[in-house]
Amino acid sequence: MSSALVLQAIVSGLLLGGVYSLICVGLTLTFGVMRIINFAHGEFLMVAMYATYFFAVGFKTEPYAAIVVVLPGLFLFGVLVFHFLIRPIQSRDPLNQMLLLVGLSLVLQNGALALFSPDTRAHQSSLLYSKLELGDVIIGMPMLIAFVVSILITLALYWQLRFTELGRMIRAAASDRGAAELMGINVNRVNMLAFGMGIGCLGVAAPLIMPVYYVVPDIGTFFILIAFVVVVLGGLGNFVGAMLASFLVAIAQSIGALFMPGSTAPVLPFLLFILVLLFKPEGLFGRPAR
Amino acid sequence: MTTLGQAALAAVALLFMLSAPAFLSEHQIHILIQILFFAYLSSCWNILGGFTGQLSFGHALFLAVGAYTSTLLLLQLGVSPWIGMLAGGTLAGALGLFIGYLSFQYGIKGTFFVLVTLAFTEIARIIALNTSAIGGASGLYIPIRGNDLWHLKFVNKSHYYYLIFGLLLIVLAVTAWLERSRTGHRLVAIRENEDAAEALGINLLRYKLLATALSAFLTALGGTFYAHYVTFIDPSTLLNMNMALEITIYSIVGGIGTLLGPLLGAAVLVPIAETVRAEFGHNYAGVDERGQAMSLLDVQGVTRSFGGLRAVSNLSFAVERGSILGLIGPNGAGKTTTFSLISGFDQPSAGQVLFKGERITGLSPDVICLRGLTRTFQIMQAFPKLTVLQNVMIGAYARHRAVAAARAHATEVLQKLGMAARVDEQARNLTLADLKRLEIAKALATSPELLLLDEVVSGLTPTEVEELVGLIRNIRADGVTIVMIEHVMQAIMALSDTIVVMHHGEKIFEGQPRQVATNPAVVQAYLGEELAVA
Amino acid sequence: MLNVRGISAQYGRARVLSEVGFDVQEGEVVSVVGANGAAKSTLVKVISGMLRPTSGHIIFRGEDITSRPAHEIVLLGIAHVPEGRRLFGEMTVLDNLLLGSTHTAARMRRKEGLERVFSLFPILRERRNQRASTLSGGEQQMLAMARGLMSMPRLLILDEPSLGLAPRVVTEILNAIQTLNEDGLTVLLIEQNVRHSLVISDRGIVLENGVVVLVDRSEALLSNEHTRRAYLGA
Repeated sequence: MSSALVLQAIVSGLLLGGVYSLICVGLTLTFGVMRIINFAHGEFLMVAMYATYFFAVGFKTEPYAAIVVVLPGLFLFGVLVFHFLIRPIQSRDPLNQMLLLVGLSLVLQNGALALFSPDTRAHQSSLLYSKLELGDVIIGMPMLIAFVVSILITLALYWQLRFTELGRMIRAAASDRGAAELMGINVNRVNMLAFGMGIGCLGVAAPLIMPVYYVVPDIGTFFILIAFVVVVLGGLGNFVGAMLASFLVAIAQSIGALFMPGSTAPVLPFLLFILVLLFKPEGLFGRPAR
Repeated sequence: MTTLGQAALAAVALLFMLSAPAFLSEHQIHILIQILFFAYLSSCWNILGGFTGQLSFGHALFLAVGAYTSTLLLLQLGVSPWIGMLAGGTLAGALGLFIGYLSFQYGIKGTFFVLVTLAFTEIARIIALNTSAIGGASGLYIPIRGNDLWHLKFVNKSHYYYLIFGLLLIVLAVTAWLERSRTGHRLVAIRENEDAAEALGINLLRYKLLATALSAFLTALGGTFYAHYVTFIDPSTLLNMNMALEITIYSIVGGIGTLLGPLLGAAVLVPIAETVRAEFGHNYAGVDERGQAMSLLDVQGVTRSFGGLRAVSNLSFAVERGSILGLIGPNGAGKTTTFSLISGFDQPSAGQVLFKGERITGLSPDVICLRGLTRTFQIMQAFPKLTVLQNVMIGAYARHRAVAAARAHATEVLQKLGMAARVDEQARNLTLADLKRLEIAKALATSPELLLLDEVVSGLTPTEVEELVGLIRNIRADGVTIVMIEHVMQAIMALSDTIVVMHHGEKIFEGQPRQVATNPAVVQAYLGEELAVA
Repeated sequence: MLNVRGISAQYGRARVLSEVGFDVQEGEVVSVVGANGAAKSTLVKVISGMLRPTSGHIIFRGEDITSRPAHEIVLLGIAHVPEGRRLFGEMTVLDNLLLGSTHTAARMRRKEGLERVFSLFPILRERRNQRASTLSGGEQQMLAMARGLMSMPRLLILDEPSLGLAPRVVTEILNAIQTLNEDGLTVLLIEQNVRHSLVISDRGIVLENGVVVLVDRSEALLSNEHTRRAYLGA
């Protein structure tokens, strides 16, 4: 096994980690911080991808340009879903919430299936084949862009949550709803914004991963489990932790693919997940619960 | 309602359910079977999820264990599925104990338990996909036909109906017992307040494991039923997340922790889900009426554009199992492109191809081959320096891991194609006719269900054509479905049940050979006046 | 400043408050006392908007606030320091304080607010970057009160501030309340520790099983036969 091969695997893993990170940064907000078990997260991504596809094809542009429409669109979609579906049942059992979101995911999947048929669609970005070559290592341009943006977005959300007024309010509302209300915080509005933000992140993720993935109604199911795994591994609510966990998981998968039989490498993230939950339930980068 | 009233209602319901198959169509019985199947699975899940309050999203795993165990025991060792069912159940129970022990001992609860069970299911799915010993991605197919009680195969759906109904009664009895027994009450206590339960002498771990093992065992029995009803199992259907979710949803919606909850949930939601599935295709969990009314190959609206040129345009046709379909048309009509699109060597720009009811568009040729669809090439793609036998063995390796088994199978195929005498000749020394047969033999050695033959008789003398036509008929008689591209009318007319005519990438006609010969558009585009008369 | 009129409330089918009514004048310290289960906390939750009454009205500075949501009531000038403090444990002392002043009017006076609470409770300045959950019980109570003060309230409601605290710390808290009142803050105090609360209050309201049984000046209550026997262990 040449070192060049291993190096390439690490780099490819890192880039793939960027993709994972992009996709789950929103989930860190909705699940990690707000503790909403959003099983429909993958389907929101799917909706964003279809929106990106139609925008790019309709206006004959790069998928990246679609961000201007898809980001606000997904934010709005998230806000609406929260206001009409999640808020009414927030006070009840988290089980009901989870079930509702599972139902939503099935509705969205089947809706997409009906509207768009099961055909795969792909929109070529002109960047699709451009790449960077550093010695023996090849870096695909679209992946690199996704990687860089994922870091930026993660840091932006981290900073926002930690240091801004709104971020404080989101954390407070998630920590103790009643107490937050007593602070004069309109908890419903704050939660709605936060959820919208979490889903809005997918509006950034979709155009960025469009050049490297097909658009199909069930694309959400490819990512949903990994997304939860990464959010938990990173320590619930820890943006930087989730980002690091994404890289770790993707690199493990990438290197694992060099050694493991067939295409069994994808089991690694899940094995890691189970092990971490058994022995370090607060996540790899989380703080131990008191 | 009084106890007497309840009993009366139950008796009426029972009577109705028992007599239902008599006045329902096969398809309606199929729907009922689905309802009962999911009601059964949900009730099994309910034991762990509803009564004990541990929400598992991993029951698809137990289902798969049941399905695969009995199928493998049957296929490899000829063991009756009735025994296989129990074996599968035991295995699933053990697996449940393992997963349960890890989770409960390490305090994994609530959402985390949901995620852990999902993780186990996903791990199982990936491993299953990559383990060819259990069929890998192409799954396992139970080829038994006709009525065979010992091997759990029935011709009439009603027999399956009674079987699943029986299973449902068993799980309902278990649930009813739980509702009344000390064990069941203790499980409910655990669900409501673990600390309080423990303080009152209930060993949490032991009871949770009991519930898990019981639930897993019963679920696996359902898996065996599934395998022998649908006669085809693969990891993507059994172990996908939607199946895992479906099992839980019916219980939760109908009334978690109750006796009738799962039944109600299934009775209401399954028909809805079924309608959706029927309308929009089946990438999602469910029980399909496989191999029964469905076409083996379904090409739907397939288009292939190269820039502005459309090589194939909105092409649709279906191929029934056991038939031969001929694909004809002038050169450049898009026939070979169509073969490439079907077999995975090319991707369509639009449309999809379904094989055995599953979407194969986007899959690579080797995966499609392993699923049972093999093509030959117009420009023959032999392995020139290998012998005839070695060439065919490469094909046989698709199904046989052991060299000896592959050799035996390859030899058998070559005998069928009349090339027994030439097994040790190098491929590059063969005559044209023999090369054509070798091409077919290689493909046939992969034990395909569908064979795509690309101009296998062109360039042969009429006698040679005659011989090959006979061989192809034999291949069909062995159960292989065939789609063939041909220019030689003698062969096409003799062999095809249906003919599809292409021109400029479009289908311009589809029908029986007689109709094709007399259709004016076809004559004008392709046949020319002379042939039309014959 | 605050008028409570005929407030009744129930949890499920259990009626916990029946026709409760009293007034709080501006500049007063009023105590609501009673045993556990007297529904004192329920009463203040109704006042601060965390709970809806089944009937009755709350009027604050002339405005009916009965059906207003809690976060709006804060804006109007009522700060409720809840029972058990309910701090944001994972967040720092400073963050907790900043959160107390999220609404615009208070936000603009943040610096002033911080100065006030830091001079009242110097220990908070020292610990401002520590996580709230690492503070001692007394410090947490101070933080909870400080947080309430940050919203620049006109009426401060304190629900069981002395719960679980050492006597020395309780005295500190009570002194702080007095200081605040001298500076013009109106205080509504819920306390199990009747003697302590009546000592620093102007008036007291005795609640038993959700019903007002006595309203009087504190001195009078302290010498009242009934209260002495029931609450002061005379």
